[in-house]
Formats: sequence, C-alpha cells, structure tokens
Amino acid sequence: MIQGGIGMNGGQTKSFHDFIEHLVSSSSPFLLRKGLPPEWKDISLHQSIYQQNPILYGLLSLSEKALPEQRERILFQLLRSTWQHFGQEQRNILQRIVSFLCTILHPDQVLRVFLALRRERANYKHVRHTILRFILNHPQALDMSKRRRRAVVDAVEHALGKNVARACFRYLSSSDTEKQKYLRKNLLKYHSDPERVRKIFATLYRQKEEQNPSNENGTSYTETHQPLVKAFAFERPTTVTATNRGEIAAAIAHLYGNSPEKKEMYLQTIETAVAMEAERVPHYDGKVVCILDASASTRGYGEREFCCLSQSLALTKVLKKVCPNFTLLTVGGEGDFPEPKGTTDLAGPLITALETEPDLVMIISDGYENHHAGDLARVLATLKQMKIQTPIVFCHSKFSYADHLELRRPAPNIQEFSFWHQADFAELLLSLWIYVGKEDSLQAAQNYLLKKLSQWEEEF
Amino acid sequence: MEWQTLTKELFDLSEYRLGLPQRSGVMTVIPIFGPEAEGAFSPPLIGLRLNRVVGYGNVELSNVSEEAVAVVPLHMGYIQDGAQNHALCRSALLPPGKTITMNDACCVQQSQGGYLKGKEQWFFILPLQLRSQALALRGKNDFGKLWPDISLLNERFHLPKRGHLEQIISRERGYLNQYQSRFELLSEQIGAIFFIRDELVGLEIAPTYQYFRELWMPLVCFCYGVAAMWEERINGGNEAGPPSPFEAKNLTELRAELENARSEYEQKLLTKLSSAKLGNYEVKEEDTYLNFRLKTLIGTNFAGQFVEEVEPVGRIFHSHQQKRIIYASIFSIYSL
Repeated sequence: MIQGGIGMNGGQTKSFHDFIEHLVSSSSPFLLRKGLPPEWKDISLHQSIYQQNPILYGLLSLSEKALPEQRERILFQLLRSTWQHFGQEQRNILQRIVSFLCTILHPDQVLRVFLALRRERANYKHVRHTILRFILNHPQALDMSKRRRRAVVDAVEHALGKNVARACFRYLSSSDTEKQKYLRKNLLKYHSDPERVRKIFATLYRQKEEQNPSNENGTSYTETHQPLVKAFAFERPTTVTATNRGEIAAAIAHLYGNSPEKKEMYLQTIETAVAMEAERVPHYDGKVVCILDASASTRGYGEREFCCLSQSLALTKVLKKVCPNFTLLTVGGEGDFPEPKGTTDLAGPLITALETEPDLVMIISDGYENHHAGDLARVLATLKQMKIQTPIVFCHSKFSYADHLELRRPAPNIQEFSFWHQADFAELLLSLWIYVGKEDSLQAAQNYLLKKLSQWEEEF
Repeated sequence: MEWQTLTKELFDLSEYRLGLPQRSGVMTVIPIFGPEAEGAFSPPLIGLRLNRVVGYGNVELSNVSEEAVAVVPLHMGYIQDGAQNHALCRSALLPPGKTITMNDACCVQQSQGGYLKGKEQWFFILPLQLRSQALALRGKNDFGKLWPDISLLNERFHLPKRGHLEQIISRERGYLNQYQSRFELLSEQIGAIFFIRDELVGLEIAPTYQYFRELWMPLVCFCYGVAAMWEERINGGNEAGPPSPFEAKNLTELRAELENARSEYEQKLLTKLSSAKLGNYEVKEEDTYLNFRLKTLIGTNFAGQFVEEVEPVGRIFHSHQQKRIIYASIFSIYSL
C-alpha cells in the first residue's frame, strides 16, 4: 500500500495536489553560488512531500508538464536523502527515477545537482553510483569532461573520494593485476570499457594526448538529452482544427456532422480509439460522478461546430473505461451522443451528484453557466459552510491551448483544470486522482506513473 | 402573472409563452416560444441579399426567394473591409423576388471610402445605445446623420471620438462573440426578451424559428451585447462580489433554497416585465404589403417597429380586424 498519502486538500499539510501544481508553475532556478550551499526557496515543500511518500514524490517528475527546474530539485532531494531505511524494491524504484531524471535533464543541471551534493557532503552509496554512471556512460562524456572539466572532476572526486579518483587515474594506464582489481572494484563496475574510462580520466586530469578530445559524432554534450525531452512530451499541433485534437474527438465530430449511413464506421473507430486511450491513462476504482455540459453552447459554430462537445464526450468515454464506478449526469442533451441543446444548469446536478456520496465530482463544461448564472458559486460556498469536503473540480473543455477563459469561469471558488487535446487526458486524470487525495487515488496515480516509467525505460 | 402588458395595446402575444431565464454577467435573456407565422418568410441571412451600395446612404437589398416575403430586420447593418459600413434606420417589407433601395441608410464608418459589395452577407444589428436615434432618423437622406451619436458611443467606451462603429463591433468582436455562447439559443425559439441589470431593454419576435436563429447572433452579440459590454467593462462591471452562501444545513435544504431563489428571481423579472410601461406613445403605419403592416412605435420609454398581418373582416371599423404579430423589435430608450 501507498505510504504517507495524507495530503488532504485545504488542510495545513501541503498536499500532492499543491505539489503537482507547483511543479508545473514554479520556474525559479535552482541556484548554486560559489562556496555556498544550494538555494531553493521551495525546499520545505519538497522535503514535506518527499517525507509523505518518497516514491510518489519522485515519480511526479514524470508528469509531462513538470518544469526542468523542478525536476532538478527532485533529483537533488532524492539523492541528498538516505535510502537506508527503504527496502530493496523501493531503492530500485528510486534509482530508476534518478536514472530517468539524469537522462531528461540538461547535463549542466545534473552536474549542478552533483556539485550541490558535494557542498552538502551527501556521500551515500546511491550518490556515488549515480554520479559515476552518469559521467562514465554519457554518450558525449569526452566533450562534457573537456568543457565542464572542473565540475566533472569535483563530481567524480566527490563520488570516489579524491585519493581513490586519482589512484584510479594512475592505475588506468597500468596492467598490474592488483591495480586492475582495484579499478574493477571502484570504477569499472560503472562502465565496462576501460579504454573509454581511461580517455575520460585523461581528459579530466589533463593528460597530454587527451587535451583536445573530439566530439563523438560531432554532437555537443548539451544536445544529447534533447531528443529524449521531445519524445517525452507528446507534441500538440500548433494550428488547431476540428480533426487534429485526437482520434476520438475527430471521429465524434465526424459522427455529428455526417450522414447516418456512416454512423457504424465512426462508432467502430470511436470504440477502438477509446480502448487504446484507456491503456494510456491512469485508472481509478473510486466513485466518480461527472456532470457533462451538453447545452446548446457546447455545439459551437463555424469550423468549431461540435468540437467542444466532441472532446468532452471523448473524455467521458475514456473515464467510463478506466473508472468502474463512474456515473455520468448529462446537462442539456441526452444519450450516448447527445444533441447539444438547452440551458446550462450546473448547480442542480451538482447537488444530485453529491447525494450519491462520491469520491470526486467533476464538471466538464465550456464554462458558460447561464441558467441562473452564479448559482454554482453560491452552492459551492454553501457546501463549504456545510463542511462537505467532497472534491469538486471544474474541467474546462477548450478548443485549443489558446482559448480565453476570462468569461468562462462560473465560480471563483472551485478547483479548475482544462483540456483541449486527447493527449491531455492522461495528465488531467493524473491531476484529478491526486486532487482526490485519498490513499487509493494516490495509489492509482503512483501505479500509472510506475507504468509510465517502465514504458520509458523500454523505449529509451 | 401577465407578461404581455408592455405591448398589450399594440399587439397580441397570447399565443406565445416564456422559457426559463438565462443570465450571464449583467444580461438576462428570457426565450420566447410560440407558433411560426403562417406563410413563407425569407430569413435575413440566407433570404436577404445585400446587392450593393448605390452611393453613400443608399443600400440595395433583394429578397432572393420567389415565394417568401422578407421582413428586413430593424437596424440591420453590414461591415466589410475596405468599404464604408452601412446600417439601416428602419425595417421594410420586401415582396418575393423584389429589390429595394433603402435611401435613408446611414454610414457607420466616417472616413472610409469605398462601397459595400454583395459578397459579404454577414450582418449586425445596431447597438442598443444607437437604436432610438437611428429610428428617429429614418426617412432622412443624410448618410452621416448617425456619426455624432456613434462618436458619443465611442467616447463612452473611452475610444477615439469619431463616427466609426467598427471600433466597437470589429475590434471587440472576440468579447462580443462570447455572448453567443454565454446565452443559448433553444430549439423552436421564436423570440427573446432582454434585460440588462434586471431592467427590461428589449423584446424581439421573429416570424419563424429559422428567422430568429439567423437574427440571434446579431442581436445578442452586437445589439444588446454592446450595451451589456459597456455595463460590464465601463460602468461598474459585474458587481458579482464573493458568492453568498445559502443558509441550508444539508443537501435537501440546499436544493429547496436553490429552487426558491430561482423562482424568486423569475418572479422578479416577470414583475419588471409586467410593470414596464411604454409611456406616452404613438404608433404610425409606415409600409404595407398585402395583409402585412409595418408600424413604428415611438414612446417615451420604448420604441421600435413591428409587422402585423391583418385579416379583413368586412366591417367598417378597422379596430375589429383580426391581427397577428409577425415581427417585432421593441427596445428601451437607452440614452447615451
């Protein structure tokens, strides 16, 4: 079972929801000034979340929108802490997260973390492993050793100890059996090719013939992580149309706009695409009630006709697959593919949803509440007064990333999320299960992130 | 409660009923449902065609249908790039297939040369703040007659004081367009009553559902939307403040209180509606086609135009004629 899932929303303790919001919004740099310990103002938040659940804390760095500056902090926090009290399984997961971070972060950020560990004198075994694996196995290790020589030497000497590092350097040119044994014990277990290790060390310690090593494949060490960063986040289209916002919404939009004889074909496409998407998103067994706005305004007009409703429907169909305890309350139209019609009453269905005592109520809407606008906000204010703490969230169904929500916020006192592309579903559901903040929902988030980590390791 | 009081002396609305009010920001809209008018009527977007502007202030319109009558919506206007935008000061009746030149139209873009061409059929309805002035200027052949009022309206929006309506209609299109989504057009809706800050500002009725569907966006976005935008942006905003909770202690009580509050608000609107008065007014018949009569209302509180279908009953006194309302656009005198 998950450890330390105590983050209740609105409580004094910072929750995982607070943390994930912080990860995607706070881009202040992780500073390391000469001779000083690292400076990061959000240290207490990172420490607090790490202490609640170090595995989930680390796994949240796999959130697609987590900023590099925040991933850098997570790498530092994971490495600076002792792992002694963890079981082997937990240590393995932490090590895998650390490896992921070392590949996805800019190498200069990784080196800065290593130097910060040195300043803090954090010399755990996992620190030594991480530093040596990263430096010796980096595809552009020679280029990095030359251009960041001082930093790499400091990191290696922190990992091995100054005397051991220098002894290793000397022994690398020797064929003496004892010295080779020493090298295998201390250094070569991190990289199997002694010649390459010798070249790296020669560069680091300025041995004459290695002073000007050429770039392997002509690539700079600062570029090697870039394809991985690109592969990690699905690239959304910059020019948005009705049919490039994901396969499910495109098929639903076609279903709305085309003749009945093609209906079966689109239904089949939708079913297949929903099943595939269900494999990509986090599942959750808790009781989820979704209020779907299918009022007249969700029809849209012109080139965007049916786009908003199609994407909302796509999300609900995926939710139905991944949440066995899912209830849908549709406002406006009716049926599997409702004809958008009628006004938007969100407050009444919210009360209906709460009467079923769910773990989460999510409202999916274009944000135009007009059947007595302001009622949703009043009902929410009353719920707070009644001490009803069921998580209630507002999910904006947008046409594109650039939608203005200025006039589409029916209540100031509700947690908002948004989505416009099918590729947003996984992050959205991850954020929702974390927002629920219960042990089983945090476990659901953790399971998903572990699966994501495994798939990442398989592919890259 | 009788909601037809305002126009009771003008025309009969007993066949129409009201839907549930929709509110967003400072504007509230009550949809009107009722029977479509008998006979065929050209809807304004696809049935009416702007042919050209024959010299400033002269707008040539055609009814493209060979069977349907066209009622030109009151204060219809066209905007085009590179041509001087025009708006009409009055409504008109167009027989099937006929062309009419409205020579009392007004330019709404003071220093732009060029004439409108037929290719762009997108239209707007003049902002509420300009409607009574425009109606008063019907029949006057002076294409620059609305410029002073447009300048004043621009000044109210803190925009350069000049006779360019596109400063509002075009540049604020993103904000104004949202009124189309903030309010929902319902199926079989044939009209609407508009309120701003819970005060009655307009009553609109169309001959058919399609006619109203095509008129909806120009009305909600550009006519009443501009007035609401001024209230929301310039004149105090939404004044929403923090939401005030109900006193309920449980969900059952909350539902009951919510329903009560909604019912009270609906009653408040109906009271406003039934107590609205035209003030001193006169009605003038301006145009006829077959049994259709286009009339102008000028009152101290409200003005507008409406089209009636008159059924002659062979009696001496016209007051005994059977009348059916076909089209109405009645608006409050909303001073600048």
